[in-house]
This record gives sequence, C-alpha cells and structure tokens, in this order.
Amino acid sequence: MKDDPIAMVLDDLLKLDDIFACMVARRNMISVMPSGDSFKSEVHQIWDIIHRAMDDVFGVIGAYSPTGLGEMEFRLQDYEVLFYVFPDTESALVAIVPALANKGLLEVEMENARREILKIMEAQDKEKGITVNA
Amino acid sequence: MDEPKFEASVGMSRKWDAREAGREVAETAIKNLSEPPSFFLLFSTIHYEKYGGFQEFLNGVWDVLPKGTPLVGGTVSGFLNNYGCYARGAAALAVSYFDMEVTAGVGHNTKRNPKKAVDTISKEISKKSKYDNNVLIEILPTAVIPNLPGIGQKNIIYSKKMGNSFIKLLPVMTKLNFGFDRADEIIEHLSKRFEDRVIVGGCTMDDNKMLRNYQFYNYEIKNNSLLVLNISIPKKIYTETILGLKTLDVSFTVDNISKDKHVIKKIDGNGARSSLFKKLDLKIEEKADVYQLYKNAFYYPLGFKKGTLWHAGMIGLIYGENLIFANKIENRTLTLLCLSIENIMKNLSESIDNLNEKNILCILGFACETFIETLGNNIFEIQKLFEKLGVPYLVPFMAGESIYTPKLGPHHLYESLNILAIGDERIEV
Repeated sequence: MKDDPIAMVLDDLLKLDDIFACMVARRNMISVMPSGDSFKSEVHQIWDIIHRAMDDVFGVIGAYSPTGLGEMEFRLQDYEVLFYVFPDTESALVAIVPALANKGLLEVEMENARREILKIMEAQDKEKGITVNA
Repeated sequence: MDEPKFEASVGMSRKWDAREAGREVAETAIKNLSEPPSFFLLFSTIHYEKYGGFQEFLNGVWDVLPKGTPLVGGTVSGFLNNYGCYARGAAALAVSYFDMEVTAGVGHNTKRNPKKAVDTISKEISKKSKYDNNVLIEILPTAVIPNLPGIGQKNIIYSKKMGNSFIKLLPVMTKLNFGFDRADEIIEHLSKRFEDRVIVGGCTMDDNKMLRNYQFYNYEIKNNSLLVLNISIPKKIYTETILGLKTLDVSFTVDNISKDKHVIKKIDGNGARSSLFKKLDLKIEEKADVYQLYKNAFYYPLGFKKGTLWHAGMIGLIYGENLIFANKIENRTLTLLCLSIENIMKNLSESIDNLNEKNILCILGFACETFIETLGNNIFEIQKLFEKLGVPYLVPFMAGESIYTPKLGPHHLYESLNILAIGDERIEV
C-alpha cells in the first residue's frame, strides 16, 4: 500500500488533528487505508460498532448513489462519521472525526481529498482502458 | 513612453514540511511575474507550527523571494484562490508594478494598547505618499482564549463563583495580550489617521480554536502585532462588502454591560447566559475542548446595526452568567441574526457582476471563517463565483474583517467578506 497514490491522499488527511481515521470503502470492504499505522488510538475502542454502522450506511449509499447522493454522515457517541461518495459508485471516502470538531474546515479537506482520489481513479481506469462516468 | 506593466500572481503550496512549503508558495507566486514583486502577501494555515515551525516556513519563502520585498501576512483558517479552496496549506499574492509605492509598518501589543500600536505604524507609514490614491492593508491578531491559572485555555466555565472571579482577571489578561482582539478600536484609530484612503484587512487565527495565531512581517514571525502595507498607486481601487446576515424576529435587552462594552452580565432582567440559553433553547456542555461554543455562537450571533451595516457580536467566552464578546457591543438592544447562505451567494454574485464590468487586474478578499464553517465543502460554490472574474485572486478566511472607506466609515465585522480590487483604469493623482 506504501506506493498507492490513494493511500498517500489518505495519509495527508490523517495528519489533520481532528481526523481520527479515514479510508476508501464500500459495503463489507475497506478498499484503501492510509499507508502508516492505520487509525489514531481514539477510535480503537469504538471501531467495531462504527464499522457495523458504516456497513448499514453503505446500503443506503449503494441504493441512492446513482440518483446523486453526494454526502452522508452519522453521529455515534462522541464521534461523527463522514461519507463522501464517489459519484455513481457504491464507494465513499470515509472519515471518523470528533463530534464537536469544526467540521466545516474538515469538509473542505474531505472534498479536496475526494477530488484528488477521483482523479487518481480516473487515471488508473484510463491505464486499464476502462471509461468511467465520474 | 509605455504604461508600466501591472502583474499579479497567486502562489500555493500543499506541502507539509514548513521550509519546503515556504519555498513552493514563493516559487509558484513569482514564477509568472516578469519583474520582481513590489509586495508579497502571505497566508498559511496553523499546521506548519507542528511541521518545522513558522520561522522555517518564512525562511523557505526567503530562499526564493528577492530580498527586501515588503511581506505581510499571517495564519488563517483556510483560503480560496485560483487553485481551489483549502483548509490546509499556504497561499500568497505577489504583485509587481513599477509605478507604485509600497510601505510596510508594524505596531506591537495590539491587545494591551491598540492606540499605541497605531501610533507606531503611523510614524512608519507617511501620510505623504507618492500618489493621493492609497490603500492600506491591515493584518492583526484575533482574540486568544485567556490562559487561566489552574484551568488553562477554556472558553466555557459555568461555575458562577469561578466565572465572576475570572471576569476580574480580564484586564490583567489584556495586559498580557490575551483576550479580545480590540480590532474594532484599531480600525477606528487607523481610519482617523488615514481618513483619505481605503483600509481593508482581517485578523489572523488558528483552526478556529482561538488558542494562538501568528503574523508574518518581512523576515520575522510576530505575535500580537499590527501589520500594515500601504500601497500608493495611480490605479482605480474598488471595494465590495458582502454580508450574509439575516435578521430574525428575536431581540434581547441588555440590562448590565461592562464599561468596556465587552462583558454582558444581564439580559432581559436575568443572568445573561441563562437568558440567552433559555430564549434560544441552547444546550452547550462545559468541556475541556473549545469547539462547541463557536459552532453555535457563530451561526446565530446577536447583532446590532452601526451605520448601514449589521455587526455580529461574537461570544468568545462564557464565564458564569457573563457573556464575553470579542467586539464591543454598541447597542443595548440586540437582534438575533443568522448567517444565510442564500444571502451570501446572492450578495457575492451581485458584487462579482459589478466588478466584472470594471476591468479588474487582481483581487484580495478577507472573508470570515464562519463562511467555511457554515458552507463546508459548498465553499467551492463561492470559489466558482470568483473564477468568473478570470484574474488572480486570494481570499484568506480570518477571524474578523475590517473595512474603512471614507464613504462607509470604519467597521470591524464578522461573518463578512470584504473585497479589494485593483482596476486597470489609470487615474490622475
């Protein structure tokens, strides 16, 4: 994963103090994780329950992404989980942040990360000779 | 003889390492200029504090920037420019124009003695400039949450006993350069000294936690300093002030306010905090961190009208029943306001259309951090509006925005966007 350009985008996100964890994921599958030491310690104890809740949210994303669902979020205890959907896919950029964080600033960086990842995905698909509608 | 060429260019870095980011932001800013820059405006997010430090960041800039270029700037929560919109990184605006006089000045201890800070810079910025047409860019530090003995930096203390005790410490804190920024006083003083010119600027900040912030002045990192850059130029200057505030049908009567007009003790006959929370059905927990108060207080500020503009009163601290405002509360009747995204977009759109007719060369804007906090990733919609102008532009997000024009008078605003545009039209001065 070390040379994966998407992992490098996630590494950048994870460096922000208020991003406790981030990943590119879909239902029942985490596709890309940051290349370093996975998530910050704050989420370790709550990860199992968050992970289960995430899978339920991915059900909704799968159903509504084709109709233009762009973002989703839920709050669980002291954490908030943000989903930035990649257009017309069942995948999303996901981040776990403190519930009281200044979310606006994080949302700007989430959007920048989503745009970067989309570019990388498009380039990768082009290399493979696949055309995507994203 | 040919008219000297005016050039402006925006620089940008997303690198984490402070020195490398400094170099890159300078390189990208000046690479498009055919002459050395006449001045350099530099803004960065607070992150470089942990990735090499701001002195290293500035050293990186000076690895590239021609020595002696007037440089002012500071830390901000984010910025938008021709590259995009960011809440992490560094950005700069470099301008090169032979027929322009640029003078920089610095005043110190803005919270302790704002008038003295203005006096100091007034000695450095001569009133006799090359042209009668001047604009003064102002950068100053925002409020910092006081560091209380045994408590640390906390913005909510519900205990009435402790709150009332700490209120008494506020004047001492001001002497130590903590507490409110006094930016409203500074713009008043500056406007008296330089009443003939446009003054526009804003307050440096961190990532909206209000724990620290820094100013950049030539080769140095500053604290609690007022920086100004006077630009004397025979080009037409335009300003636009955009407010997105909407008045709501809720008002408050202030019964008891401190002499300095920063601390409201009683509202509608009761303790100020209880009255406010009851009327707005607010529930804010007292926590060690500083986030939640600002999320609530910034979306729904209490405001008053001064001249033609609504001023949002920003609650910075709650000590017991006391509400401590960043700015002076200049009216005993306060109206509940809310930041309307619809209003921001409509008003900004009109201003951009207005500027689009003016043959603009470059734009510098000062916007409130609440725009990012409220709009989140929709802030890119604002960037799209600026793109319509097709010129270099830089808009840092700050903690309070000041504007003075001889017509408008002095205002230190929150939840506003002030735009300064330099037009191509040459004026005889």
